[in-house]
Amino acid sequence: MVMHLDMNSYFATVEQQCDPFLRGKPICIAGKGKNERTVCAAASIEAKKFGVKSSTSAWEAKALCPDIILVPPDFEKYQFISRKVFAILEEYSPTIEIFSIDEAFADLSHIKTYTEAAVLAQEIKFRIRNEIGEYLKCSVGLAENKLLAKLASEMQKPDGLTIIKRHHVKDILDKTPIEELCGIGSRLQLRLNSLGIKMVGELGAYSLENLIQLFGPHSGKHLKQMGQGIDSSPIISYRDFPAEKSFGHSYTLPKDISDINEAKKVLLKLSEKVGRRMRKAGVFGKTIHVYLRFFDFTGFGKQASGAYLQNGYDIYQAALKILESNPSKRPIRLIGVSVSNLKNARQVNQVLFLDKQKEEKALNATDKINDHFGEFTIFRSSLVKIKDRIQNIPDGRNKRLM
Amino acid sequence: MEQIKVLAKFNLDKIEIAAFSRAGRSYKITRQNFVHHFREGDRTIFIFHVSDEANTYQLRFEPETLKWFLVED
Repeated sequence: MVMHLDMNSYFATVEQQCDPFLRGKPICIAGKGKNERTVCAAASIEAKKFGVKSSTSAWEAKALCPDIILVPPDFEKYQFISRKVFAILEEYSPTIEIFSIDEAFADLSHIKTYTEAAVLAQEIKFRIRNEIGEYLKCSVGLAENKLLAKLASEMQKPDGLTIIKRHHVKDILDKTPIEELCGIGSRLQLRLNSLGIKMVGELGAYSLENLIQLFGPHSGKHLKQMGQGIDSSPIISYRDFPAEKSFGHSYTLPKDISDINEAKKVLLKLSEKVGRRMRKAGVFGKTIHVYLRFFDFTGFGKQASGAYLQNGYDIYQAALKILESNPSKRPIRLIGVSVSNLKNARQVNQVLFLDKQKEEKALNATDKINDHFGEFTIFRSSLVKIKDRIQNIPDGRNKRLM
Repeated sequence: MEQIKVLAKFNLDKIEIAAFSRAGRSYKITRQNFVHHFREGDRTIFIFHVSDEANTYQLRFEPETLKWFLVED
């Protein structure tokens, strides 16, 4: 048996927990300060009634709901609460899989009946309210596998508890639109819709041969199983999570920019953040990837490989070459940089040149100061003007919370 | 951030804020909504989200220096 726990309207509810004057009001978590072009990271239950949802832009949210209150995000706070929630969940299960900052699966194979599991779910819900915050709500799904448990938790929001038993699976899947199934994105939905598949049950009844022909042997078989509510994927504990394969950061600019010098500064700050995380993890990387999103949501992405790097400035210089190769003059909306093809520091031939050694020493000293006093206490002078911007970039993947 | 004076009760493993004062005015706290902490360099910083009858405040406590600050109101 598997439990899926999903915190409802998570970031918004946390803010409503911290500020009771926001409770019962439409709020959305969007950007920092008065930057209205950012997208909503979360909408409160009240804001959702107006059609505001995650990924709605802040200006669009204001158009849908003029009284909406924009609250800047505080990712450290959200991560703090997530760790507390997952720690409670872990007391009831030998294995929990952190699916995102506000969702987790728990292995309940040691529980014999759904009734017993439901009692346990109610206890977890009570403890979250009692020990973390009385305004925090979650929806829980119980089923025989992860796919169905997640579907179950989506069925009753907020504060739901839904069980999908084996003999109900067919009825439920027949009535469930395919886009509600985890793993069916908008493009895949359109493709399946064009085949006349609208409901999950229709996907399960569709010819396997046709699905394999259209989507390939692996995906075709996987889709067929999803349509039948079959999922044999294991619950992967965060303790067994594989090492990170890349480090990256991106930033949506407050205003579209056409000035390459502005873009360079943002790229430098992002590269410094990436380099800092790589040094903390003790890895070097040789493939630099830069991606740009333009004002019209078209994009540019390119990668290049060279020497193994870890210094933020070296990453920046490699990234800059890619940035400068961007043929488009369109105003830039988002800039991102990532480093992959990682190697442990011990496996990389370290620099021997004297000037490089001096730079490495300076970098180590900088890291020590920032370790002691906090990030960006000491930084490159070229970042002075943008130091206070781009502060709110959550670190890495949220599956590594614990 | 503004340094403030705080009246708090250290109750076993909890800190309960009763009131704070700034600019000669005191604020009686009626609710402690949430407390969390994070690392800033190698220091642990505590943030208290508290309310009086009219507003919510974020108070920052630095255990290393025993200083309190009003983050926003």
